[in-house]
Order: sequence, then C-alpha cells, then structure tokens
Amino acid sequence: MFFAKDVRNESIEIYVSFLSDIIEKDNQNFKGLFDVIINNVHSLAVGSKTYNEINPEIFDIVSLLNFYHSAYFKEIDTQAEFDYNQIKKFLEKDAVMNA
Amino acid sequence: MDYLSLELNLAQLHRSIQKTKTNKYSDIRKESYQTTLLELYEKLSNEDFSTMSLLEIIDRKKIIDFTFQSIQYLDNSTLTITPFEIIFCLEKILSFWIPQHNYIIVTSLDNNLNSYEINYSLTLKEPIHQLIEDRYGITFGFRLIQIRMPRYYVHDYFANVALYHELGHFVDSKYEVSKKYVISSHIYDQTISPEANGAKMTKRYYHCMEHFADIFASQYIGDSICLSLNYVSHNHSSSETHPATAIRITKVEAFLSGVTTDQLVTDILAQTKILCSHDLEIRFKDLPLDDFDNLIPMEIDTDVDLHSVILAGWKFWRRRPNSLIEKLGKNIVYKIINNLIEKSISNYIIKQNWNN
Amino acid sequence: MYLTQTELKRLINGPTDEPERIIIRPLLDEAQIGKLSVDFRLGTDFLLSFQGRNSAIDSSNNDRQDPSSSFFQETRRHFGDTFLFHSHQTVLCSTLEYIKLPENIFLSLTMRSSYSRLGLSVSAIVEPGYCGCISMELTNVNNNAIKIPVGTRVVQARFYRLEEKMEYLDKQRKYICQVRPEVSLANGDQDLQKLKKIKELRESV
Repeated sequence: MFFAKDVRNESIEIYVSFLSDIIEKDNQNFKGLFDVIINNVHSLAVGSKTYNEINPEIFDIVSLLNFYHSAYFKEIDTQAEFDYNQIKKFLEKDAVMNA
Repeated sequence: MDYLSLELNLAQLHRSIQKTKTNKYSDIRKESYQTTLLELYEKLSNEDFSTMSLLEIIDRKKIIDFTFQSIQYLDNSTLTITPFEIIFCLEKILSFWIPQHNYIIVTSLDNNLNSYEINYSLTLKEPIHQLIEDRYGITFGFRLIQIRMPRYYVHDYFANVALYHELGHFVDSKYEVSKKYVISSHIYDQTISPEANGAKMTKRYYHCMEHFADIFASQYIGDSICLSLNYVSHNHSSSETHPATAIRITKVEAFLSGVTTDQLVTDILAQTKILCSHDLEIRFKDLPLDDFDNLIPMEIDTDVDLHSVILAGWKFWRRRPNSLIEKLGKNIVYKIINNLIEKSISNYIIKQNWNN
Repeated sequence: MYLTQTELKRLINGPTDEPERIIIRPLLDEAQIGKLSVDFRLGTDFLLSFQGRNSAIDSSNNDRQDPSSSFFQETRRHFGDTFLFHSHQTVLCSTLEYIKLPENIFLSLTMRSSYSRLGLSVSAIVEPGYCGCISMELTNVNNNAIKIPVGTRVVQARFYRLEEKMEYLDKQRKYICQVRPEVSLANGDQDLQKLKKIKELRESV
C-alpha cells in the first residue's frame, strides 16, 4: 500500500502512542508535535498548503491523514483544542488498512 | 506481546550489548553513538516491564528493536576492509544534497552478490528518536546509514555503480520527491475506495522511485548506470516494484541527452528543483583515457572528476579494439581498471587530506 | 648509471611526452626527492600472516588455487592512522605512491635509516617498466612492536639507468598495476610442474 511502503510507516504505531500520552498524561512535547501535524493536515485539506510545502519528516502522517480523512480536517477549528481521541482512532484504523 | 516476551527480548539485547561494549572505533562519532546506545540500554534494563500497559510494552519493543538494529549496524561495520574510496565518493554526494547532515555511514560486507543496499531505516525515523527522548531524556547526536555491498565486489567499481542508485533512493526518501510527486499528481477516482486509490498510487510510486534513483545516479556516472542495468536486470519486464529495464534506460537517456519531451523525466526534474537544495543535472565529464592507456591512475583535481573516473573505467573497458586486452587478457585488464580507478580516487583523498 | 637529484627531478617533473618520465602518484612533497634517492611512504593496505588450520604454506602445489591466501588477512588503515608492526612480524604492505618506471630505469628499495634503526627491514628491486604501488615485505626484527603512521616516509628508492631498454610486458607478469599488497603467487610458477614430475619420477624408481 502507498502509505505502508516506507521505513517511516512503522512510525504510525509510535504516533498512536504519542496520542495516548497526550490524552492520558497531557504530554506537552507530543502535543506540540501533533499540533504541527494537525495544522499541516488542515492546511492541505483546505488548500492553503500543497504537498510540496509539507516538511518531509512529517509528510507521511500528514498525507495519510489528509488522504483518508480530508473532510474531517477541513472542518477542524485550529484555534480550539484538538480531539486527539478522534485522531487516534483515525490512525488506528489507517494502520490496519496500510499494514 | 506481553511483558515476559519483552523481558526475553531485553535479555537477548543484553547479550548483544556485552559483545559490543568492548568495540573501539577510530571514528569518534561512532564512539559517541555507541556510548548513547549503552546509556539507552541501561535505562531500559532499569525498568519494570511487568507494571506496563500494552501500549507501553509496544513502545519498549520498538526501542529495543531500534537498539538491536543500531548495534547490528555498528558491529557489522567492517573496519578492516572498509572500501574507503567508494564511501568517500558517496559521502561527497550526500554532503552536497543534504548539507550539514548528522549521518554516520557504516559499511557491511555481505556474501550475497546482489546485496547492494543503503539501509536508512534508522536514519529517517524521527518518531522513534522523539519517543526515546521523551521516555529517557536521551538524544542521539547522529543517525546511522548502513551501506551494504557484496564482499566480493569491494574493489569492483563496475558493480559499485549500484550504490549511486541506492544513494538516489535515500535522497528521494529524505525529501520525499517521488512520494510528493505521485500523491500530488494522483487523480482521485471517486468510483473506487480510498484503499484502491492507494493501491494505484503504490505502483506509480515504486516506479517513480526507481526512475529517480537511476537519473540521480546518472548525474555522476553517466550512462554506466544503463550499462549496469542492462547487465544486472537485462530484459526485465515491468513488475509491481520496478519498471521494465528498457523503460528505465530510456528515462536515463532522456535525462542525459536533455530531452524535454519525456513528461515523467521533466516532472521528476521539476519536483527535485522544488524540494531539494539542488537540481538534477549532469555532474560528470568525459575524462581522457590516456592515463589508463599508460597503466597509471588519473590525477583528479575536483569532485566532478572523482565520479567521472568510474565512468572512464567503463568506457575504457568497452573501448574496442583494445590493445591492452589483447596483450594481457580480459581478466587482468578488469583487475587493472579497478585498481586504477581505486588509486585515482585514493590519491585524491590523500592529496586533499595532505593539503588541508 | 646512478640517478641523482637533478636528473630525478627532471624525469619526475618533466613533460608527459618525456620518454624517460618517472611517474610517481601522488608525490605529496617535492622534498621526497633527495640528493641520491626518493622517499616513499607507507600505504594504507596490509596483509598480515596468521596461523590457520593448515600446517604450512605450501608454495610447491599449484593444483590448488591460492593456498597462500588462507594464511593472510587483509586490513586497511586511513591515511594518518597508525599501524602496529609486532615484534618479529613480517607484514606485506605497499607504498602509498603508484609508480611507473621507463623501460631503461630500475630502482632498488631500502629502509630509511630512521626506520631500519628501529628494527624494520625491507629489500626489493623494481624492474624497468614496472607500474604499480611497490610491494614491500616489512619485517620487524626488534623485540618491541613499532607503531608507524600510514603515510610516513619509511623507504627510499635509488634509481639506476640501463644502457638498454627492457620491455616489462614482454612476458606474463604475476603482479601488475597493484595498488595494495597481494598474496604470493609463487605456486603459479611454471617450474613447479616440472619439479613435481622430477619428484614423482624419483619416487617411482
């Protein structure tokens, strides 16, 4: 699968772990990291950024979330607190699909 | 996966660590990396896995896997017969395309004749490093890249052109050239599922990666990448992962001749221009073969010449009639060309070191 | 005729079409060309002998391929790194410099005095027309190990001009255009077949 063929893709599970930390332990480091990811997905979804403008280090997760859940991220309010639980569910489902 | 399996895994890691602990490296970066690995292992072994949740156990498993793989890379780094010369060429290219990188290249020699690979699974995986930093406060200052090559071809510069292709894959992955190109240019088919759309992109992506790597290599070694392809994968038809050899060669030839009518080549060039610090362009020249004719190494003055020597070796071999081959025989001439290429590169390295 | 500094410099630095041109690559320092000889440096590659499963190096048997190679291990050092010559060890190495001699000049290789005083010895003659790094069998006769940086000027070459030219490639050469030390190909000598037959004949009588 497109999103599975990459050394970075084992990282989806690690990202799920990061989200668990954010949800259960309010891990601010990971929160900062994920906020960047979410903002990038939103920008892609609304068209204010192109794929080429996404940092290669987070490109996989950003493009994965946008590819499968563009509609959700388009509507996301970037000023409000993000629903990390929802994003975690997305990734868990996407990891299965791309295994 | 449960904590008992994890404890077993850690015991296995302990054994590897004990062997590695006494390794000494002349490269202080490798020493530093090893020291950090040992630190990481200490932290892991001080944890009580039995109290951890499944997610935490999975995390630890990934960290143990990372540690294992790092040890494997460092341990297999065959110091005694490292092919300095080809590694030097690759490092030059790496520094050019990824300035101020923090990579340590380690080499591993394999008995498999087809095992040309640049393994960067530890290099581009930032999340694992972020995880390690969060859990243990440990930061690795460097990233390991493993170059694997057949033991028997250590001094074979005809075969080693494959490493230029492999380096192309690494640069591609670093900047996500192929991936961004394919996903940007994908026309989403609403009549099929997202997974099916993903599947369509996959083959395009794999093929694009191969074309990028071929073109990337040809910047430095010209059409010797085509000669190598014809030799290694002659007449291969298209597969899920690789384009047909004939098509691959066509793309390289289009790039080398500056043809602008090949859409894919044009797109790859444009995409690289946007994403990378440099353009894909010709970075070799045709060196005169007089020195090889006289059985002496070439005097190289520039980095461009460095890679061009390898191309010169190919040209020398293929030049017919060749009085030297008639006199000495093909086997001897093959050895001589490789020796002269290697010595040309080696002398360049030595002179650079001396003059700096 | 023994070549001295002025003539050596003329032949080493001369134009490429000079028929007696002596090629030395790389020549890192002009000061290597002394009044009577040229200094050469220790190269980056070494062959170390070790005791393996076989009881002896059988140089007489040319039915087996490369029996000698199983007694040697290849190793390399970076330029500037040190190499340790153990006491009473013979190491195969080569000069850093790749040379090509014209067909009427040969050279004789000896240790530089500073290193022969430490207990290192070497002796070699390099034929006219030779091309390659010069193979050296360095033996440490000292009771102590000696550590030497790769790139050190360890040997000196004296050059002699002959009255007649000698073509180097007029016969099959075992070692040509070497850039690192190579294991002995003594078992490839054609004479060995004959000697073997002589032995067999004697033993059958």
